[in-house]
Amino acid sequence: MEFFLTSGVIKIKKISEINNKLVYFQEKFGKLIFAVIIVLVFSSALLRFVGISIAWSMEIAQLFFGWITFIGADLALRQKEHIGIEIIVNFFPDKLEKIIYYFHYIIMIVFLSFIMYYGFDLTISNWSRSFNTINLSYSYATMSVPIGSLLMLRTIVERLIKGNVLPKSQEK
Amino acid sequence: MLFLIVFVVLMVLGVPLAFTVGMPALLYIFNDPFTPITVGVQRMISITQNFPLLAVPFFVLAGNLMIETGITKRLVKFATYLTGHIVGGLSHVTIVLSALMGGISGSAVADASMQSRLLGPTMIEERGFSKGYSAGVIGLSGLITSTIPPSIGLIQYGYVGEVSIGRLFVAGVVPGILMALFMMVAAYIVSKKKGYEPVREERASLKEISISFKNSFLALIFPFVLIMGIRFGVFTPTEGGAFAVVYSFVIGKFVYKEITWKKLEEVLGQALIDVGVIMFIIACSGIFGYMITTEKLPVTVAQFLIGITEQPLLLLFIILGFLLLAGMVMEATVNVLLLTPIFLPIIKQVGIDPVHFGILMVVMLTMGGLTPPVGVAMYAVCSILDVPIDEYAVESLPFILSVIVLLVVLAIFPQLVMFLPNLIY
Repeated sequence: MEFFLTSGVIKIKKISEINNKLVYFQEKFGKLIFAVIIVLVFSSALLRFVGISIAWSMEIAQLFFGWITFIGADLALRQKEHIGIEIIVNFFPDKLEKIIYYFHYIIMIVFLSFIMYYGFDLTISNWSRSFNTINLSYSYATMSVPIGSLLMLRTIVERLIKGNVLPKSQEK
Repeated sequence: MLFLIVFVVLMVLGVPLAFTVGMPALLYIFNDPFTPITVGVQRMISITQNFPLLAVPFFVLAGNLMIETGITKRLVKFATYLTGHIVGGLSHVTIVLSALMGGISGSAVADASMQSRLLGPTMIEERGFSKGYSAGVIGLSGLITSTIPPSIGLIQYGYVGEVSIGRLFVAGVVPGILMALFMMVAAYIVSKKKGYEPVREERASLKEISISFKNSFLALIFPFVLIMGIRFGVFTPTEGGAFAVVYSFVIGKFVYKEITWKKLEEVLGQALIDVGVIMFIIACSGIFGYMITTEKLPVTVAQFLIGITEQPLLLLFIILGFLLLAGMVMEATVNVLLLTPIFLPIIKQVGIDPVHFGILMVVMLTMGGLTPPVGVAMYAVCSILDVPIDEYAVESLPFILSVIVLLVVLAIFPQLVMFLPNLIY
């Protein structure tokens, strides 16, 4: 019995270690492609000015745009930056208020699960469609939606395990 | 109809906005036998594959960059020299600063929260302004920043309504400047009554002003470069956004020598989160937009409104009144994305210029972010300055009124908005 408990604790520790690394990677990757997009769009405008056209740079920028959107959405969720209109809920008794915050997470889980499922579905079924100029499957962009949803679901599960469901304005 | 009820219920329960918008739309698609559910995902991704909208992350980042590059610091000095000697000194400084910042930054929320940190404590603790008044003037002046080009709200409007973003940018110039003047008048009247003192004893000398102008010249010139660059096709608004980021970074790194690579990474990280919030809402609104158009909601609303009156100006005021209410209860980005396709066809039908309407609509809805009971920019300012919402509500009123008066003037005299874009384009 004791053995299982300790091995369980070790497992959780390991999972959270891996998770921390994943978040670190998300942040670095997000910042990197954000910077790349800026450089690409800026330099393609500059090059066009002197008569050189690099159409592929626009498509790469758009591909990365999807990724910064959905990686950013998860990083924002981690910081509790996705806010709602809390003014009415604040009038409810504390207990009911907390139940409503749990309800928020149920809504998010339902929404994200569907988006993730059908997102992977679309990614796989549309694999043959490619970008106009670059020879790359459009699914590399589509993929950002279900993967972003998966990352957010991960963040939500983490929150629920910790019981940390209050919005940012209620913390302190 | 049922889906609109779901929308309202989720909104009232305080569910994060992206999900409030996305969930009912997903239910709608789920319920519609003719639409494959993958359409929902397709909608979300296709919005991020849109080149014009890419300007949003760029101008968010440019706004976040300004304070670290030392641009802001110089502009504060310049604004103080210009208006510090007037009764109510620092309130004019924050108004003028917003106008000056407006040329690079395009977000009311970013400007309002930045200035709350920068000027708020000095106003309240050292200069004896009341908390509510300080929050009011700092918050509402953020609206000037978002009206003077570039403007994130106008980019969103232009994207949804298929209106030229270049023309919209130019059209924002005169209303932005007028807004600053109107607010300065409001600040002057209130300050005179409450005895708020100037921050400088006397008017700055011409020499002081010209030195300070020279120091902040590179920042002040940018909006002209941007507008002309877009007008003459040197770059698109999106490329202009990338240009704004590179421009302010180069100034901060090589001219003012204030920003470090480490700071740049921090700013990128913060901007990434801000972009995540805005773009995720926009992506989810994409699904909602599908529901609105398939349900032919714009047609229904148009018929209803045309049934009331066909007189353009009256119609415009009815719509503006509705936008004021919508702005009070819903966040600006969501409003712009959902209401533009509904109102724009009617506006075109009665012969009002979409650019003229765009300025009125975006200013009104962005102001919604600064009016109680619901407003993201208002929450930001009030939480940073630790001001109760009811205090803010009372003392921000003069500034809210000055914006409404301005909007009425702009609605009656379209030339004020349209003169510049018609001249340049």
